[in-house]
Amino acid sequence: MKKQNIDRRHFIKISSLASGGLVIGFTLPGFQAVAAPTFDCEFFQPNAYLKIDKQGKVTVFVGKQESGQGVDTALPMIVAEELDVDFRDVKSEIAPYGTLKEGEHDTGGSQSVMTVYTQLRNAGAVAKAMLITAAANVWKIKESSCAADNGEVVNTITNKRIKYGELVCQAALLPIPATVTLKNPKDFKLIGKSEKRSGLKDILTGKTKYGIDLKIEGMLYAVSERCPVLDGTLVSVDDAAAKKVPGVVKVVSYTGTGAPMHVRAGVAVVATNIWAAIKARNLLDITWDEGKKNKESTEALFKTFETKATGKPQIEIFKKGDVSKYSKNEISATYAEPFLAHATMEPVNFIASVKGDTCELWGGLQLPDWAVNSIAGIGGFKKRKH
Amino acid sequence: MPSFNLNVNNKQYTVEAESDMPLLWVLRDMLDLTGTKYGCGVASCGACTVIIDGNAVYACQRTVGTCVNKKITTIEGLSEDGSHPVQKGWQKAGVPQCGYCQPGQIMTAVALLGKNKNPSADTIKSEMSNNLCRCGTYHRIEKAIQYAIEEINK
Repeated sequence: MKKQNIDRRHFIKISSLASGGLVIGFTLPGFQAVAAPTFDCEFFQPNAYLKIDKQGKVTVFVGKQESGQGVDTALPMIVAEELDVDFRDVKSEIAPYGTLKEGEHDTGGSQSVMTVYTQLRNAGAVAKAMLITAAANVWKIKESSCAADNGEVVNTITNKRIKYGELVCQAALLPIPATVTLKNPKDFKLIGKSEKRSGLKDILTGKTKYGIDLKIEGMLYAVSERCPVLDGTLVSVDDAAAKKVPGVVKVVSYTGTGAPMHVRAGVAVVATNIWAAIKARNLLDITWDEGKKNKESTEALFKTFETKATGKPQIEIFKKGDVSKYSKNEISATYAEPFLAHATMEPVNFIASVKGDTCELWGGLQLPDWAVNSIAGIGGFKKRKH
Repeated sequence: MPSFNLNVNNKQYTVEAESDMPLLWVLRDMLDLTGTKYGCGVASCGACTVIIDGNAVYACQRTVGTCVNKKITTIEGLSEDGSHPVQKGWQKAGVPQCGYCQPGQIMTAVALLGKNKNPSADTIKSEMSNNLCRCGTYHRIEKAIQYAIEEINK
């Protein structure tokens, strides 16, 4: 069969910057989907979600953004379940951007486990099936006479065992099965159980790299001042005092972008270090046109909700089973959400490196596709089609 | 530009910086000790907490000039492997979610236990109130501190 290799250099460059942190990195143009299998005898990687090395250590590539919800632990557990490995032999890495399909890197709506559950089970089951076939070939027996157990394939006739790590090279040469059988949930060993969060020690020793901790050689720092009212626009800025701060390189006014990123108009100070940029930003003398939204309030917003909802038919959002069979009391409640900032502890931040016609980006993002598409549009970068 | 001698995690450093630069940026940008986090920069969140001469201090509020000849400890200085009793307590209680505020939380707890090996629950609550956690891990933080108290009084 045809072997496909990803550009190793590209892969290593991205993943080594991203590993161990809450950051994904990507390059424009030139990123390509690597959903196609990668075979290398150093390890066995039947799909974009996992690889197994010769020592039997498993790496699960997590496409979702870890931000405390535990996807770095939960998603590898799903793969490990179907793969039948000791969870202590499993580590998670950020799936390099572009290795998954567009949309698969999106994180949101408390749906990470729900949306990739079957895919990840399949990914683990495919790898396991290929390891079983590899072992069956070694023993010259039928696959049905083999079983997977805790990182090993067992010959059910002789009870001999081969470790997954020893089957890596043979498995890598096998065709990928079109269909696989998933476990019966009653046989689950990991799913439904509690596991310790991965990466905990790195957080507790200050080693975890968040987006804001990344540094690129020669990088400049920009901080932004934006209109305190949503959709306000810039009238004028006096940046004379700001420009006198040592380290300040440039002051840039910008109008922002529309959907999907909705970057608001503002003034950015660019400096050689972040402290100079922050200090200079405080010295900007800006006049804003606050626009139509400066009279809005939470009370007014809630009134609008009420007015708009009154007399409208109810919409069913979620239904499972027949509730009427079980419920005796009907519970009704009204929920309204004010307009407020998410107020993440880590200030929103991002790194872009533009060299010639290539733009390389790093950031902790819920929706990297949006960022890539927006930046490609703004900077005139071509996004290579998958 | 003036230069300053700093003792951070028992290592001597000489840095050249504007004298009004907060210690936070010296640690993060010059010494590459990024375990100390930038959250608000205005003494509201505690993410940048470090220990200076035994006291928990917001690194965003201390200019570099005021830190000369002091003993500065950051999260990187507690232990290489997470073996400090407070870090162990944090691990046992499984405190972090996103983890961004946790270095600051840990440093505040270390400073507290450095002064008082057996603080009351009320003291713990009031001392820890200088550090915000957006994930809401406060209950586990209190549990972790209790584990650390057991460990250091063993």
